[in-house]
Amino acid sequence: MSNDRFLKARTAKATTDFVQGVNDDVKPINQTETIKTKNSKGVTVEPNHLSAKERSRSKHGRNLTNYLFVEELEAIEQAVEKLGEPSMSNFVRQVLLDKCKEVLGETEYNRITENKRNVVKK
Amino acid sequence: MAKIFTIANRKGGVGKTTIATNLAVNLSKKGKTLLVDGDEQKSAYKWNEYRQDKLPSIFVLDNLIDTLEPLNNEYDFIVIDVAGRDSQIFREALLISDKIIVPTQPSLIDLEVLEYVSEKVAQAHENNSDIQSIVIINKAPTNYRNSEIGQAQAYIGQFQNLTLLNTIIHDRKAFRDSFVESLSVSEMSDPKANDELQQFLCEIL
Repeated sequence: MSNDRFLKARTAKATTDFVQGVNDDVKPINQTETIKTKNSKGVTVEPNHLSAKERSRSKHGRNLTNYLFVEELEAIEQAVEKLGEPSMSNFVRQVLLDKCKEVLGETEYNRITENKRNVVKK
Repeated sequence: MAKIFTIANRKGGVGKTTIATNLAVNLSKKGKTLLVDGDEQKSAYKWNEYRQDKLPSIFVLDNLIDTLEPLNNEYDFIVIDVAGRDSQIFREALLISDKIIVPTQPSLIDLEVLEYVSEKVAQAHENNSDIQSIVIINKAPTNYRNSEIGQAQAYIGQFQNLTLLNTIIHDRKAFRDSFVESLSVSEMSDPKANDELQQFLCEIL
């Protein structure tokens, strides 16, 4: 066994669906449900059967709109620039999710985020 | 650099943990051995906790690759016991193992899942070309007139990427008793069970 097996394994884990594709012979059961949003509109979602590569936040996710004062957005933009983050959306999402994990606790946070569902577009 | 053995099957109850614990004890006589329990039930980890002569052991439920990388040069052998189902730990283990050992009972219901295991091994081979997959018939009936073993051998022989061992481990009380007592059968006084275990070791090493 070569010395770089861990490097190869990490690369395979990051670049292929092999590790995520657990039980990939099991046919998905289409169970949709409707989530009531804050403005009382309904969003239909279904369990995720897409691979990590196929799943997209913009195509299969929901969005969060948050109005900011000009100076607040500028502060965020500067922080993102200072950290050298490639994307402001990634930064905002990650900071929010890290805070949620802290508030909810790791077990509850994992319970929620492991229930992967996608929006069904009509 | 450790030689990594993963004991896995998609089917539960085929004796993975018994094989893993027996293998770990016997490998520890040949070199520094780490027993890795990757099953939520923690059976192998708990078995080791009750041993007088404890083996180095860890319990891992995710990020197996990252967890084992720093330990790779510290041990001669690493034995990974994973749960009897498909899981991310199983997939990660396939990417880093030298040998995957698949215990199976010789019944049709147990043999049916080998097709899936064979398919996953073939996929893992694309990234881990050194992996060898070995099938061992375990918990075989001791009644010599039973035809199940021969039929199972013929069935397993059809899989080109699975090597069937000549050793057959029979359903012996010594294996069950040894587990309850946190021992290996090599530490008990059942020569038949011990002979089977030693033959198994000779074949895989």
